Amino acid sequence: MSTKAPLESRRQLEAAATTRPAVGSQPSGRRTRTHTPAVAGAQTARFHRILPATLWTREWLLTLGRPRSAAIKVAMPLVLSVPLVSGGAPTFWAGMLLTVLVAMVGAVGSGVALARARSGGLLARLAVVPRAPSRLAGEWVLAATAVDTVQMLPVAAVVVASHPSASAALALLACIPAVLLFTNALGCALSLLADGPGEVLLDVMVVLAPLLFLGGLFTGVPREGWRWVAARLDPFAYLHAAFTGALGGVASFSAAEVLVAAAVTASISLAALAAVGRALLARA
Amino acid sequence: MTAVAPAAAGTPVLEARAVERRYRGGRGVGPVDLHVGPGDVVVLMGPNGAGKTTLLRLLATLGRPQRGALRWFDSADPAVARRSLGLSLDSTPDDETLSGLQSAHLWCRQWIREPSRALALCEEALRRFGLAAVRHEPIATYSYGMRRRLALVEALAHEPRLALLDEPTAGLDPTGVHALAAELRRRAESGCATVVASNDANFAAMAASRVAFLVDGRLLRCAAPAELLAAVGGARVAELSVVDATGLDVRALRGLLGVERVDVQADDGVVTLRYHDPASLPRIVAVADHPGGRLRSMRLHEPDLADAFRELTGSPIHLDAR
Repeated sequence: MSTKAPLESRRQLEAAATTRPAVGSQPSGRRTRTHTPAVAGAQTARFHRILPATLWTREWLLTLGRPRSAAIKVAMPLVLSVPLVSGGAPTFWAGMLLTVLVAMVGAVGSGVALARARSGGLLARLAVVPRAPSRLAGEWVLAATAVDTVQMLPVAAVVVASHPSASAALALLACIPAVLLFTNALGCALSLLADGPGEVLLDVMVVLAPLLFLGGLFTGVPREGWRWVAARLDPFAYLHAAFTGALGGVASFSAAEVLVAAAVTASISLAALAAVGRALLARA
Repeated sequence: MTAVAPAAAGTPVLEARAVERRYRGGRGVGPVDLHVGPGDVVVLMGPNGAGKTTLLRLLATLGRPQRGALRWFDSADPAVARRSLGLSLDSTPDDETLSGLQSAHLWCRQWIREPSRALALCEEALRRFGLAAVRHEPIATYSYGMRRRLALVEALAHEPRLALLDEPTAGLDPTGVHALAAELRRRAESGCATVVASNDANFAAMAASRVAFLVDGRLLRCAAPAELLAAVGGARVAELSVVDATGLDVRALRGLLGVERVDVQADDGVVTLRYHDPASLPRIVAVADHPGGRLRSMRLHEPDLADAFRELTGSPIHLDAR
């Protein structure tokens, strides 16, 4: 995965800025929209000189290229979490709602985006580039996970601020990206089964609901029996525990257990992504 | 990723032997034999459902044939093909917040490692396709035709040795069609091969070194445009648009002196006929403008590849999927 700055080089940017269009190269044809407003002109011009080379950079550019949409993405979880936290909602139920939110953000986002990419021919074009499918899918899903994590960070900040505790904060901040990676990979896998974006939504609900139940989000985690075992294998149980603990409630798992679970969840998700990536592009 | 080394003269870029892929219900393609050498521009023509896109996807390593064998650059490994492949499907770039240059650069960098070279290739391709002036503008502001041009830039900017283009002239204005034909000729001169699925007879005549006629998934003819046009040589074509083709006296038209062939597309109200003697025209008009048929317009032209298709395959190229 590439984490370098998206600018290829200063020299490139200068070259791009100084290249003049060919005379008469303006094509005819009606524009579908008016040109970029002059107010945002300079900023937009700078933005459009950043040259992406990877899906990672593309994902960030697409996110930042729609400031209003990005602001709404960040505001929406806050609108839910601030009243919960400031209103003193029971920690178990507040944790449940926030866990469901994280699960939906990751799985729906990736699933719908990939289903659209398939129907729009983007996956077919990716399938013929000379790079490993697992790497391409990994790059895409990791970028989506990073964007989702940024989206959920303000929520984490609000929760942590309500009952400051270093261990609970650490557990939460580790568990959120791990579970987002898991749900993004899940969305990626579910997009393989669906025929279109609408169907992905249904598939996500059908798969997430039992997973959330097994994680004890609706009824708590029993102390024995098969459901206790199931909950220990369910990433949502740990995220729920992380939220509950950070909100000052009694969590089903300790912060140390949550940290270990986050590491395991992230590792398994990455391994699964490699296999899903191959299947994803093979079905393009 | 670097492009594969130029092929030695005579080494095929692409070779399909008895390739077949059929879907449930029998639609699909094959068995098809196709040999594409360096510098070839092969245009696949055929009615909807003839298998052009299915064949193109197989050639692009998207899916495997059920039978037969494919080789790219003398290798059966699809990974070898992908090292120097360009693909444009009948879709447009939809990363609307990216600029044309950003989108083209993203794709070019999948093949070209060196950033400055990738940028130079993209700038040059955008210029050739008339998008240089708008390259920094978001794709959201592009018209459909401009998006189609950008799709071609993305498929061709990295100078692939094999390019596969599906309906590339759809949505292009005449300038765009000429730019594309010039681009394919330029590629051919440098030894790069292109396979195009298109029913645009004028474009095929401008760009193709060979034209392949596909009907029901089978490749019936594959030859140089001049060779195919020879099948209808000497004749001229009259295309009549009538209000009601079913009321037309087709037998009377066929019986006219100098009229060689009459094809009726009843649904479209179009009657296409070939004639040798211009003196036949008043008689043709007299029959077609009968109250039963009502002539709306008549267009005369030299035979094109669509007429050659009709002559050689026995069916019109604009045929609804069956």
